[in-house]
Amino acid sequence: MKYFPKGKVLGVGIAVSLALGSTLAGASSHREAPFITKSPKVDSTDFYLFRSYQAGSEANVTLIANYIPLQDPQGGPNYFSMDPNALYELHIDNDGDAVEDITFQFKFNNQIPNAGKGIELQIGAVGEKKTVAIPIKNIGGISNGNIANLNFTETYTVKMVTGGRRQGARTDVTKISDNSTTFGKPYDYVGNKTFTDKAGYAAYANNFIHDVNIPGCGTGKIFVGQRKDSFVVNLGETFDLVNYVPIEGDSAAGAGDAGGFAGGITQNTVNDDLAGKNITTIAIELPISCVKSASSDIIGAWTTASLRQARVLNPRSTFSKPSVVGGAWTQVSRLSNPLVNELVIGLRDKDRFNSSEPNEDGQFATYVTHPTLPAILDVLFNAPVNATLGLTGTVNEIANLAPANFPRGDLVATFLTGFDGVNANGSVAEMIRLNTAIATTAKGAQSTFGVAGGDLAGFPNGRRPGDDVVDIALRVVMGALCHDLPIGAGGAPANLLLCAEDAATAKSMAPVGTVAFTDGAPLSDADFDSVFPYLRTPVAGSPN
Amino acid sequence: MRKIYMTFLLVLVVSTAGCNHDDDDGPAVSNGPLPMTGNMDPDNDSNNATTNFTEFTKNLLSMAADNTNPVNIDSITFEFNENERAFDDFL
Repeated sequence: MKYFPKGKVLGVGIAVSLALGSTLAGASSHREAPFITKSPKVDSTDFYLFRSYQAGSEANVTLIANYIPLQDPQGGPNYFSMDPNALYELHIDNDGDAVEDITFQFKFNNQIPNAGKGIELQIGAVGEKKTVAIPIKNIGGISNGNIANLNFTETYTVKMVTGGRRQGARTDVTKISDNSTTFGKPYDYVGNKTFTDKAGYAAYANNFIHDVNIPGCGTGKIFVGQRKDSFVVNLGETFDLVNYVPIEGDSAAGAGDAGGFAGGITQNTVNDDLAGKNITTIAIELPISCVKSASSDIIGAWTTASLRQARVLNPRSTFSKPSVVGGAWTQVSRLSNPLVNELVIGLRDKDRFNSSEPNEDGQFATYVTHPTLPAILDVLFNAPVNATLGLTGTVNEIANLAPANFPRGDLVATFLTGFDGVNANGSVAEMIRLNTAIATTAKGAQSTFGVAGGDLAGFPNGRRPGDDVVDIALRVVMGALCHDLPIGAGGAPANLLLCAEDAATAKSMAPVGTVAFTDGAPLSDADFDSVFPYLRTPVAGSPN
Repeated sequence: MRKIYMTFLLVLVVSTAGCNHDDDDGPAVSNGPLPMTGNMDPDNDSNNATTNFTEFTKNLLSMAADNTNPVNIDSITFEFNENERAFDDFL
């Protein structure tokens, strides 16, 4: 008999990002759809939403949207600027109707100094010298306060839109220092001959954390710049049909005793294929009072990128005019919960998802209520799992590793509606929801498993950088929420009854729901800073 | 081979992100100002009239970014006429 939790609206369904995380999971949302692979500058990779845990900032919320995936630090001579023809947006829904109420719009501008001619050198014999433009973006060292050697600058403006993103009222976000509307973006971390050392780059980049006036409601911080990729995943082997045993091989993560599942993968940073990659971060911190409504502490948020609908290439392309664009802003990228478009949405619909808005997610219902990834995992691992456990041919043989509770009410609750009493706000759409009234957990004390680890300040109540969404999502999709979690009084085990009307039946729906699925790439709050923008200094292009 | 002066590649993003929030059955698409040729009906996005691609694109290029919605091109059949310098006035 099918079961669906009372009070949950199933019909709309939504692209739930359930990560089928670690297995078959690539990066959170790196190059996840066919069309967006053609436009990496507008390809969102990760989105974070959390109550600020920097000491003294707990009255604020932080939104982080990462773009431009898989940046090789050595990517010169142009490195990774944002697209000046794009509109990057962070949306907030604070009344539970899955439509944005507040949007922050970022637009970028690239410039070459010297009135567009760039840094020039005098080349040639005495008396016959010619003035020639240099081919690179810097001609000497750069440091905090010394940018004379920079041959390229990137700036941006920010507008706050209240109401609909296209028809709402727009107001400039300004610097506290001088009320200016133009913000600087630091040059990428090209290397240590340019920036001296890592501390030198950090000091230079920190100069681009801007204190800002948030229109109508106080002050905040903004930073846009290159950071080390905050996502951690066993990318290559995972997409090679999960070319490892995705179950913890130690008795506990990091124990190093091989006391877990025989042959299972163990936690090791070498399993993180993104360890040497960078991304570009858009980060904003603002007062909770600015974004929540008077009637609810819960907000939902997501990021999008849009391009003008028409573009004509210039056959005589120049730096200032490689093309001309026109037409309405047309959304080409969308991200909220991690791994949705990567692992839940079918290949034929990934581009459509990227161009859709949360309130249109009913069209993706079946992908959520009847996910394919658990079935794929069963195909790949049913026989070896049963063999390893000695169950093959016995009465206890696991017939199907995939949870059997259809429609998957546990997945709907996790990513579609939120949890009653935690972060449900009445909306039914794929988006991260954060209960801003739940206290933060200090760095060092955060559970990498978020709510599932008894830490209500973590994923899926928002998402912090140190939440291991790959492992969390994998376990959830394989039925972890059908089993007891340490969320009762004092951390006592309790069943959410999302998979059946009684705990015993719920547990029976997910035969491997208590298994420690993992991709072996560890992540925790120790991998991030304790202050805004939390994501760390990027990997140097030239570390020497 | 004759050098092509205008090697334009028109990138038209299929507009599926609209501002119509009432439709749960598919991506909300609004029909913004739609260049018309022949018997194109701007209120009927299932009309299969043929539209000159160059003229359609020129109209798009002239549209504002804000306070308007992407144009639905799913049901449009484009007619392509070679015109190497069709977009000179934009470049």
